[in-house]
Amino acid sequence: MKRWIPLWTIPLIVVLAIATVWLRLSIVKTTYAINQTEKMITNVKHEREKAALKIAGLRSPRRLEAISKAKFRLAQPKADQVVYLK
Amino acid sequence: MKKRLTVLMVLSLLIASTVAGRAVYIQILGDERLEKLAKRQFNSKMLVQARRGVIVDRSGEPLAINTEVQSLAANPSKVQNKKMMAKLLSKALGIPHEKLLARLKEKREFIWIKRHLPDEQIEQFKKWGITDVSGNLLPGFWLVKENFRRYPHGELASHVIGTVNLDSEGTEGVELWKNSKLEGKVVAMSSVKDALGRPTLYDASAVRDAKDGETIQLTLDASLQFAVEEELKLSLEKTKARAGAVIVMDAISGDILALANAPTFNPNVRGAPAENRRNRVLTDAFEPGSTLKPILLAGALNQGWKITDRLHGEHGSFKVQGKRISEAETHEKFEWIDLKKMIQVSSNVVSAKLAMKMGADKYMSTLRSFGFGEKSGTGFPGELSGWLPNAKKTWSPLTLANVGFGQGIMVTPIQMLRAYTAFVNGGWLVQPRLVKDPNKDEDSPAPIRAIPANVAEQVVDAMKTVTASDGTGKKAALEGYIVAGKTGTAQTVDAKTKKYSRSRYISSFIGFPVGVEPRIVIMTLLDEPKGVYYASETAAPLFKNVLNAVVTRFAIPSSSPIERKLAEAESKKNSKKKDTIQASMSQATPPAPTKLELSGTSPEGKIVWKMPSLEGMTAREALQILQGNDLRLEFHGNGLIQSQSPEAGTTITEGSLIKLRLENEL
Repeated sequence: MKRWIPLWTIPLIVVLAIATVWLRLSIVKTTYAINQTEKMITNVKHEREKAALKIAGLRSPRRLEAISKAKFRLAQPKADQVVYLK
Repeated sequence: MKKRLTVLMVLSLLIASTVAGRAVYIQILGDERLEKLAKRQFNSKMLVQARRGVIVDRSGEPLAINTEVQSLAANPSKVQNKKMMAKLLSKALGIPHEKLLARLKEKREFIWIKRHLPDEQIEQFKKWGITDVSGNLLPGFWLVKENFRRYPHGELASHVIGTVNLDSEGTEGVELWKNSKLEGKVVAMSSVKDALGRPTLYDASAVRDAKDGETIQLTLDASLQFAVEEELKLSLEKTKARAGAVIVMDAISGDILALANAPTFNPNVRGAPAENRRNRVLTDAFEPGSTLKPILLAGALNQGWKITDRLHGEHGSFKVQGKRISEAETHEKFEWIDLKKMIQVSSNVVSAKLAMKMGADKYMSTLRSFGFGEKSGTGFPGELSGWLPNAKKTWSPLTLANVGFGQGIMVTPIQMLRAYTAFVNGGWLVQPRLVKDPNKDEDSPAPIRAIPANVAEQVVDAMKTVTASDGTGKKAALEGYIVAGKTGTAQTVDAKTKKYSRSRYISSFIGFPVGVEPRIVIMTLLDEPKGVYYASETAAPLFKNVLNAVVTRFAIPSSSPIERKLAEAESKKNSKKKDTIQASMSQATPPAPTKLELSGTSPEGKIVWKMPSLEGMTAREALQILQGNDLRLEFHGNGLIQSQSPEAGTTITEGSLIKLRLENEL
């Protein structure tokens, strides 16, 4: 009796089926990983923004002036106290 | 038995083939309803939120940035024991219990309980039992992460930056003006989710389309802005003015380096009154008064007049169509004065006569060439174009005379400043810029020539006399710099009487240091200063302080040579030895604040001067001698000084009362 499909196709089909499932699982796994990384990126971005806010607050001219006056007893120079050399 | 088994087998086969047939139908042929159900279960739409762009100053200093905050949301249909929850939430969030209960009774699937919660309030949830033992919120409630706009410098440049609403959409200022660029691109993308609701597949191409908002770079300099705002605040406290504004602009590029308004507001705190949020520089128009006179002079010189041409001052007043036009001070009784002097003494009569001689058409064309009657082109929301008297009708002589000295015309502060840039940069009208747009630089309109360079030079020469020792703006002069400018004290219309008020004025000063780089123009404006309202005593000193901040910030070298400065210092030192202050008069180095002769000090440590002879002088001349010292002055009458008390040669100390009786005693 002649076989209607060759014998070697059976392992091929099995391999293809496993590969398809593996590929599908890999996609899902990678998506989870991307998702996780994106969350991390977002968190880092937020941390960066928080840091930027803190730096901006620390560099605020109002704060610096208050510190320079209170802590170092500095004052804005008067017009006649500044001489610029060309 | 066999027959029964056959029937059972056939039945089983029928059932099996029905199920198989149905499965084939569902899997292969498809069912629209089931397809939709499956899609609803496994597919979801995700919004990729864009981060709002930041706003920075010209050096990259952040002025508006984002942080993440959490907001409390609820699904009322899933909330159990609504009364109890309303009570607990009320205690944790400080919202009235009735209000919360009403919200929880709403028949909706989503409501906001409170937006933008501070961390301290979220910590309160556990204390008030709004979370379960594992720290999760009770059923029906959840926290949503949102972007929150923060302004790290608080009030700094708040009128320019503007504000956003709860949804981070611009509502005012640059936040509104550049909202489309700042908000970025929100993208909705489809994804397949797993049993736990986590996305398993993305539409990668859609993610690529999502775009964060662009960074907007302003032309403002944060450090200078701060210094200018501080000076304005001090000036407002001193003059008790209702409001004020200062603008500092680069006359070549048109970059606005500082733009301060008072009263001000903190954009981090919601609910500031509209009065405090108004950007007066761009959205308020006023009658400029004498600051318009240099524009008139430029127009006249451009029409062929000479700076030495003279007009009669009519001894202080003259009538036009039955209305009297007078000098600001009754003692100012000018005769023949040239156009340069007209600027120095700020003569209303001569300005009115000059405008009438020029004619309405020529004067109107001058005003238009300086950009009046149209928006300055900053693009800022709500900017006004000002108002010129009807161009279609012929101006009456009275209208023309009034516009000659800056009344009967409405301008915005930015228009005035823009017009003055033409004097600094050789006659070009530049477009003011508040935002540095790298893409727009190539398309930005080219400067327009308003006046020839030689005309600009002559007007600057005339304006230099204003800050000289006998000019109206001498208090704007800054030691070491040649300052040109013009004072303006304009009457305002009383909203009730619809007439010019005798007690409300807008004092302004527009000026610039001459011969220095960068070429900067500054305008100071005070609305309704109390007491001494003259610009010479209010806006001019503010200008001087602002100019000092500008030269300090940009390290602008003095325009007078260092040798001269040292020589002056030496001469001052010598003069102190003789116990006499000698006034040094030069355009480059404005005079010392007093011309009084020192006589020593009193036993109480007060300075003692010799009373000078003031008889025969005008009140202004007397003021120039006595100003800058702690003396109380009383003027009676107008015209020239007839008698004085104390008499000349006697001694006066700080706080002395000096009475001066003038020619025509009232």
